[in-house]
Amino acid sequence: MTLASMYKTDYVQTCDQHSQTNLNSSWVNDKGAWMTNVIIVCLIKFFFSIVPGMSPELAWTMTTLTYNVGSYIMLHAVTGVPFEFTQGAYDGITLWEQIDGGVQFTATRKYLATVPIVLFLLSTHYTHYAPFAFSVNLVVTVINLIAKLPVMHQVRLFDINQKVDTN
Amino acid sequence: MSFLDEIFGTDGRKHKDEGIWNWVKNQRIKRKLKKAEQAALHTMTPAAATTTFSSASSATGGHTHNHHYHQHHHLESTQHTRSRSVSSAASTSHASFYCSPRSPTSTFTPSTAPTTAYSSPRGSLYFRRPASVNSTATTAVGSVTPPMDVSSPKTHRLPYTHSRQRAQSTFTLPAVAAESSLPKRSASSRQQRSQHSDDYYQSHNLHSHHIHDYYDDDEGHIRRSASSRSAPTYYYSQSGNQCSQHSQHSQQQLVEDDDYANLCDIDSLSISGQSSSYNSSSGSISSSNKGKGVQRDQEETIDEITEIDGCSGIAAGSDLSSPTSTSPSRRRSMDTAMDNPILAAVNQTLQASSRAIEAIPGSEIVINYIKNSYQNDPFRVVLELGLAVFAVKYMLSKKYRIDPSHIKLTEKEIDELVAEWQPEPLVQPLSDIQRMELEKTQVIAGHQGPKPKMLSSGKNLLNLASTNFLGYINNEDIKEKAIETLRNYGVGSCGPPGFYGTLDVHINLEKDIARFLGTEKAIIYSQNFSTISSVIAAFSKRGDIIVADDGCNFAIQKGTQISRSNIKWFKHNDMADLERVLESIKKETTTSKKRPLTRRFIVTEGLFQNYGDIAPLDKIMELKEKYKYRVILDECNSFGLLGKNGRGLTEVFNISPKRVDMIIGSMANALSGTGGFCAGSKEVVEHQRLSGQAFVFSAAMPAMLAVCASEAIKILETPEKGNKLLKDMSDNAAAFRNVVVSAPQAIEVSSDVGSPILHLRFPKNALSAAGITTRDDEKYLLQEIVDEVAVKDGLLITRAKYVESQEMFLPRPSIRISICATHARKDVEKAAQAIKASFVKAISKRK
Repeated sequence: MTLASMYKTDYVQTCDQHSQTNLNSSWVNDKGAWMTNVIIVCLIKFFFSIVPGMSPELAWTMTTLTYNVGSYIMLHAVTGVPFEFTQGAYDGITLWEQIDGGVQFTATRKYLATVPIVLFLLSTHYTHYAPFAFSVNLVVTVINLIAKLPVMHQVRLFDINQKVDTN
Repeated sequence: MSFLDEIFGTDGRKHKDEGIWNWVKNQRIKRKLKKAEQAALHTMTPAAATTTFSSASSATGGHTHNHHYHQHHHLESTQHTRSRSVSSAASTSHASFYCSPRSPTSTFTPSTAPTTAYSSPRGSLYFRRPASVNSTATTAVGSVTPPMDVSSPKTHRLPYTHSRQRAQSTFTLPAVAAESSLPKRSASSRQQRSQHSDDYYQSHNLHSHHIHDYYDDDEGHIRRSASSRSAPTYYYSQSGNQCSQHSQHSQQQLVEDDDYANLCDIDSLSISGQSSSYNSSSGSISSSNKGKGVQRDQEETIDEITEIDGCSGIAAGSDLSSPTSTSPSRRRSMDTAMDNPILAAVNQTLQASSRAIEAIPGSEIVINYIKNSYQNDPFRVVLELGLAVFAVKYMLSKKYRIDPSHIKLTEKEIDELVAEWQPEPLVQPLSDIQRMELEKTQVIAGHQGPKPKMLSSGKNLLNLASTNFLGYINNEDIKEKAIETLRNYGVGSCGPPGFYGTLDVHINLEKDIARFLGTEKAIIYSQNFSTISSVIAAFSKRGDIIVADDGCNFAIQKGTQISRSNIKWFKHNDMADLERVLESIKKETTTSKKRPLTRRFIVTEGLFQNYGDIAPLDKIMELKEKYKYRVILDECNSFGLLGKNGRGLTEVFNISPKRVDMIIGSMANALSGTGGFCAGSKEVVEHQRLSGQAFVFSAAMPAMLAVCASEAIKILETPEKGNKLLKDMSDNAAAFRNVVVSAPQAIEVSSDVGSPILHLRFPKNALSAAGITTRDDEKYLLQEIVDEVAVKDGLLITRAKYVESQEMFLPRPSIRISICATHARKDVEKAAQAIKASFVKAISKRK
């Protein structure tokens, strides 16, 4: 048996999912999306600062909270794609798991993991490391980071988003 | 908002010192102070005691950063000796004692001047304590303890004790630097320390030039020029001059000079060397200081000062020459420091690296950030460092694929594969069996029909191979209609049905089919093979369940494959097995708590193309109702052929066609048209207009063929013609079958009675007896039969052909007979006899 025949993979299965670019997740690789991410964080902070009666420390904490919760919902809570083109290949998969077809530690994933960390450091700095704000920031950032670890790829806790079992 | 201010630290300064670490430290400080108060009550003079108390209490009450440090580190260092605790209170009050150069004697008077020229906002860490005397060497009695000045938190009183006092005082040097890890010194402090040494030179006339300008400020204090940061200065040198004027004591002079020399030489001493000696000396502090005297203490002091000074790791440029008078102890310590080359090298490295770091542009920001972020909370700093390390590790990780089926080849394997690779020819050379098939395939000259003429021999053979079941190919009525339509509509339809390809004849055909079958609506596809694939994929998606008969034809298999659903196969026409499978699925899906709502289908054929037998539709409907499945019935080979009127399996079993969810039929087999259809309810049919892939992405069928099919249906509908055709066909099939089954030792017939498709196979035992083991051999043998009857008996028959590499359940090789209604009974019987004889001969010949 030749080496090539030993390494024959399921051609049809591979063709199906990757025949077209997953438009639901391909946009996160664009550099414009990266810039928009930063701009959104700045906008959130701006709008929180504008609110009368909000101290800068509270604004920073709310920024971190909003960004982490929002990005968690967008990346790790919502599954599937809004349009149908690969017979439901991405039905039970979150956007984070769809990025780059499941390859870990790509540039986009590294970037998306850096932003909460940087935001956390800034936020704790500007809230003068007050314990309450620090703990809030820490908890939210850590939850967001844990969800981005490769060990959590397609892992479902507490039956949230439990995947349909497919053969 | 005040509550939020509290918890969010709106006033940054207020919360600057908070944190777990600080809280812990504060608790200990409070406890120690309380103890000190108790102790001080007994030891202090009342006057001094009150002031001490006031100062001490105010110190604790105050929020001054450095005072905390004072007391804390005082107390920390005095922890290991009981004796020290006595003097701790005293030393606290010593902490704020400072010297005003104008009146050195005023050192003994409490001063309430709020500001000093020697303020150091950097904190107590920059204190220059003079050489202190070990507390245990002297008594605490008699030492006057000036109170602390706590009026202004900003200014830091540099402690100074007069040399005379130093010899007698119970001053203990706080091990400030040793306890806390100091932040890095900036360049300014190094500059200051060089200033200090310059001061020393200046005061002792060792230099000729001024480095700094001095001027008197308003209060008459001598200030440094603005070039010097507000860092602590070696004011001892100036004040020391004046102080020394008053002290004529030679011993003390010596001590002073020594002290200054010692102090000034701190910069030139190696840190690590001193730190080691400090550690050793601090250990010995508690143990043996009774008789050691001043020398020992000074050595210790030097070390301690060096600790304060040099913990950051930066030593000033050691351009100082050794001062003139060197005490043996100091020389000793200096020598040990310099002698050890490793420590010297480390020192040099640290200096160089810190200078390099500061040379990086923007390092100021980072250093400031680090300083600001420390906030005396090492736990939090450790946490943030952990986060930073995690971030770095994440950034540096290489990307990898999680999919386990993705195989990573080693270099060696890649090389092997490359070496192995041979370019394939565009046209593969034919294998033996392929060549045989190519040679033996009959070519029809002229048009298709019941008795076509062969190209090779020129003879007319009886056609038992093509699926011309009802003989419509030669039907004159249909031919006329077809020609008429061709003249009206042209040849093609110029587009997919959804995009200007639909003609009225297509709509008519759909209506005819629906009417004929008895369903609500029908949709037509242009190709028979892709009809069933599209229908299955249009309704069953990923996650749905399909239960299919394992004798289904290739088109159904492909349809289930592209639908990406879960497929479960049951044994061919085995209703018990079907029930088992349905039951198992029911068990699986009801056990899981969150059962997704999936669509479930049973897919089977009416008349199996590979076997010729009929599915028990009544039983299937029973099971479908019980387990709530939908039935997709592929009637490609039974529509128009089975049943009294040709309506298919639903007519045979007397089941309302509306109960079957989707009936798929073929116009190519029975109706001599082309393509296929799907008949069902309105929703079923309309859904396929957009999601039936072959409907959307294929051209519509030519008008001529649609008309042919419509005509064929009309013929079927007319009882005298249609029924007659059907009866003829079934009679012919029965006759053929009767002959062929009479030789069971040679022929295995897998078809049902009345089926127009017959599959003739060799029985397995006969094959093994004849020594035929492989599939290819069997095929060769069958081909012999085909050739023989073509030549000898004038029959055109064929083997059933399969895409062997892709069939899921590859059927055994067979000869497929398709009975035509227009053949004469006698011809059919004769053909059957000939085939039977040929089979017998073939199998016995091998024996």
